[in-house]
Amino acid sequence: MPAAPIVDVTELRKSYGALEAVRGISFEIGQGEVFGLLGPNGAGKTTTIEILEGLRARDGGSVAVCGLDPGVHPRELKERIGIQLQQTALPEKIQVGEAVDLFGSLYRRRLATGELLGWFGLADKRASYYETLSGGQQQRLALALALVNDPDVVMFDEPTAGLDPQSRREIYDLIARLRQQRRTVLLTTHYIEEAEQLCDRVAILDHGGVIAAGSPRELIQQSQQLSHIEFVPASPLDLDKLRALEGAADALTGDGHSNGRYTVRSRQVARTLMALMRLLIAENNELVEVHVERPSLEDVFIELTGRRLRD
Amino acid sequence: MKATLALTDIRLKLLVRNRSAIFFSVVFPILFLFIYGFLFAKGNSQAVRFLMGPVVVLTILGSGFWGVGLQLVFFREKNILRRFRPAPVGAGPLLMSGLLANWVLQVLLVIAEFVIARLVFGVPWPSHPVNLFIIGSLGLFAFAGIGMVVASVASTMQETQVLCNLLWFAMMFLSGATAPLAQLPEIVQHAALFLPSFYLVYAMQSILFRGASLLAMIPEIIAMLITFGAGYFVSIKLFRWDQQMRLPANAKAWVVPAIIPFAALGLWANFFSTRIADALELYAAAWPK
Repeated sequence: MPAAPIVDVTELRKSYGALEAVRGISFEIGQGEVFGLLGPNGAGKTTTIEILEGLRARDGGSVAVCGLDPGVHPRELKERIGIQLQQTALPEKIQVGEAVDLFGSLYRRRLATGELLGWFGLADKRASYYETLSGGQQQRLALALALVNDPDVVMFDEPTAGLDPQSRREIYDLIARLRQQRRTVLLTTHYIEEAEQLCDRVAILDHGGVIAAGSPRELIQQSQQLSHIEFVPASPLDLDKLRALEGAADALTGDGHSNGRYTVRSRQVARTLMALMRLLIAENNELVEVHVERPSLEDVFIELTGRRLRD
Repeated sequence: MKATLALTDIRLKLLVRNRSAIFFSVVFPILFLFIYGFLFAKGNSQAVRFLMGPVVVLTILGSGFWGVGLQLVFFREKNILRRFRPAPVGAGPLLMSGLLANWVLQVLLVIAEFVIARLVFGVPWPSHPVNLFIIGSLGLFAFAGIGMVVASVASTMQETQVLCNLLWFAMMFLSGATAPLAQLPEIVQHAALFLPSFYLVYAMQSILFRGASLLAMIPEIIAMLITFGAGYFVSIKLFRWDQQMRLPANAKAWVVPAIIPFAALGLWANFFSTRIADALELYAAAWPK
């Protein structure tokens, strides 16, 4: 984390009547980081991001984005950040190029329309009406509009919600490109793979609070979850010898050798795999198939909350 | 100002590209001109000239209610306003751009109506076009003010349509905008003095036939300006970026500031002016025997 965070949130609180939507959330985002707020629906992600965007008032805590308090300088902040909200639309008969020109004209600083449309793969759609775009293209345009003012921080609220897998992948590529450009991105998502693939760091939210924060790798390593090494040897193996492999956890399962498949659960995958190779060679055995499955953020979430992210 | 102009430019393009908007904002009023001209005036140029007031009022009435008011609710329901929320632009330019786009379109349309009236029915060119332009513009602004208030306090598109229809019918049929005031019962004539459309028809006809100066219409001008100002202010006050935003509990009370100008003008006109007698005299003098 760089010394001066570009987003600094401390003890943020927000209630709607009796419902405490955000309960003392704190996190920081460094310049050039892609930071994810991951959590199920109703976890407080959208409320948090809307407070950061200056679109919603907070009840307590402090927030600074680009050194500005969104509650005090919302207009100045809007010039400095790019925002993609959930569920927005444009008029059906507006052309793609017109939309970018229009939104660009609302800011003091702006990127060239052609350049932006090129980035987002919409250059050939410049004269197309919004109504003729596919869902994925409409979402790419929404992201392009969020970048139109060449912002210091970009905030995407569920950028791939409701999109088909291919469109989602296109959005992943675009966000990955923003990461290469060292843009600071804050995104909310309830898609595990999105957070794992795109984010340098994530904060996992549940019931309005941060239950874990760090890089996806750190969170997975810190968890009690184990990697699974599934393999099929040419000849049967002794389970006790497998349990004794370096790095293998105390628990070890096979599936009854019915199809010759074994599963070793390990905290140190590389060491366990090496030890397994040595065992196979020592026993003059062969490896027919091997598959390693690492724990995911989903496993971390289940471990922390006892339920699945999308339950 | 830059944002307002950019938004107005887009709103104009969207208006022109929207077939149903073009039908109701352009084709429909011109159809009215022909219906009035051939059916009511029977092609008589003097009668058509008299009916140009009602035709122009009908034109801008629809634009104020549907073009400005209903369009605002449509943009809100479709989450289009929501898209503008993160941008450094407030409710003012968004509202003003809708008004200006409709104003530009209606100015062109009213000019076209006078050209058609001249070419088809032989109606002479208006002798005081600037006065007509100013009164017509103020009328559109006042109707737009009312349309914006309705859009601001109505929860849904359906509710807005019901309210706009009620107001539209009242302004159409009870004010002299369809049947001349002289043909309406006396009680309706007095009720008409509370309707902005009456004053606009009266002002248009006074300018067309008597070359009335703007000074003679100071009360009407003040009422139209206040109605627009109140409507614009209430709309900004109650502006909602999307359907999820709740109206404040006292929202409906904000209708009052928009009603007051013409309520006051109606009272004044009923008790202290000769507006009805003037309107009847104008009809008697202008409508061919």
